[in-house]
Amino acid sequence: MQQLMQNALDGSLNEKDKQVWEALLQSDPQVNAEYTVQKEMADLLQNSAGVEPPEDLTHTIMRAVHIKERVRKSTWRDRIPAVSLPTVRLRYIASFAAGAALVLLVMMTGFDDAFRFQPRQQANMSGALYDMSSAERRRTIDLESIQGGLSWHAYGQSIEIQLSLEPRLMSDILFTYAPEAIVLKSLKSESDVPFINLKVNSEQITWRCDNPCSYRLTFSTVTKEPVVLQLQLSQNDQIVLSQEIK
Amino acid sequence: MKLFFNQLLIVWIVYMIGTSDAELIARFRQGDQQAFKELVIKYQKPIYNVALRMTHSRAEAEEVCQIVFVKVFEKIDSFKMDHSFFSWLYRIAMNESINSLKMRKRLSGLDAVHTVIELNPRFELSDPIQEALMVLKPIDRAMIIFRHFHNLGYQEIAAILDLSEKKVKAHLFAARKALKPILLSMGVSNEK
Repeated sequence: MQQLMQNALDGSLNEKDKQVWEALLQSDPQVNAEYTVQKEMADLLQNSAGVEPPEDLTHTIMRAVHIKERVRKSTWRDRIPAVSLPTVRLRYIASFAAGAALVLLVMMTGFDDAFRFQPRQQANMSGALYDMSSAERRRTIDLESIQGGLSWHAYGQSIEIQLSLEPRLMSDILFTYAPEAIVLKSLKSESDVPFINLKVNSEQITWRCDNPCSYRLTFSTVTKEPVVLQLQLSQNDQIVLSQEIK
Repeated sequence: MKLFFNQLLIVWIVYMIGTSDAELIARFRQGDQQAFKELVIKYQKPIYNVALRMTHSRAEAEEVCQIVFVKVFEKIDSFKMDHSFFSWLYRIAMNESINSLKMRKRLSGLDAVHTVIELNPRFELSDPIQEALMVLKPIDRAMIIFRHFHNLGYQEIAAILDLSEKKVKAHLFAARKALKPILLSMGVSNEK
């Protein structure tokens, strides 16, 4: 029955099926009602016209493709020459030496001392957790290797974050911070690029970035406990980030 | 003899894929960037329309278009010439549109305290049919888009969405049925 109805909707019934279908329509009011709905919807939808894309879409797409190509060509994999056999041997020797040194270290200091992690060396789900202690006042991180996400702890009264974004494509940026522990004081675009779809609340900031741009975010902490800031991008964009603790 | 069969295979592939697509892909694989641009010009409108219908947002449709063609650019070498190029393209567009919807859902929890400049308002189409489509599940919406807005056959839709023809027909039937009460509640009817 459904096949017949589908063919009737498509106008592809042959003479024999057409007779069967018409008889079915007259004898079964439920089939008739269903067919009426399907036919009405099909006719309604058929009249919807397509939309012309923006005039500069070709240019925008080609620009995105060229940026992607440029980034791909500049990755470290392309720059590393093919590894020769002596180099491989050298690597084996170096690995063996490093392993031997590690065993020696464990024997001399005991397992607990050798493998006790400092807080700043912890890792989390997004790939990296950075502890910005006073000793490390500035750090530049290439997010490309962190799969589009970054978390770090920050200490201090005022935290200033400089974001330099080079989106390959239009990208949504999501910044989250621990509620009540940190307050966003200011958010500035340093390249006169206006914010697109900017939304701010007490826990998150989000905006859209489609041009290379530099941003400066200033937070103040209202707790002496370490606070967590997280940054996520909608794509795995290349992003260089540095942070200063004042 | 082997050469003859090879040539026959190429002719068959060219026939299957449509002459110009096969030529453009071959030219692009040989390093002709202009061929890629021609593919973009040829397919940007249908892809943009699929994404726009799926996301109901011009900004997101543009973004999806960029991602689709960047992916095509990157993966063209792995594209098998005996497959339909436009099915492949449509499938990427569909997947990226769904990703875009997921991203929107993730960000929708934010309360807009203030907005500085909205250059790309997300919802711009004021078409009640489009509003109704957005109520449907993405897969059902895709069926309607491909069948009624792009006039694709069941076999083509099945190839794009990796479903059987039977399932395509069932989804389409259910989608049209679900659309009727939604449109009625919006005061839209095609009854004469």
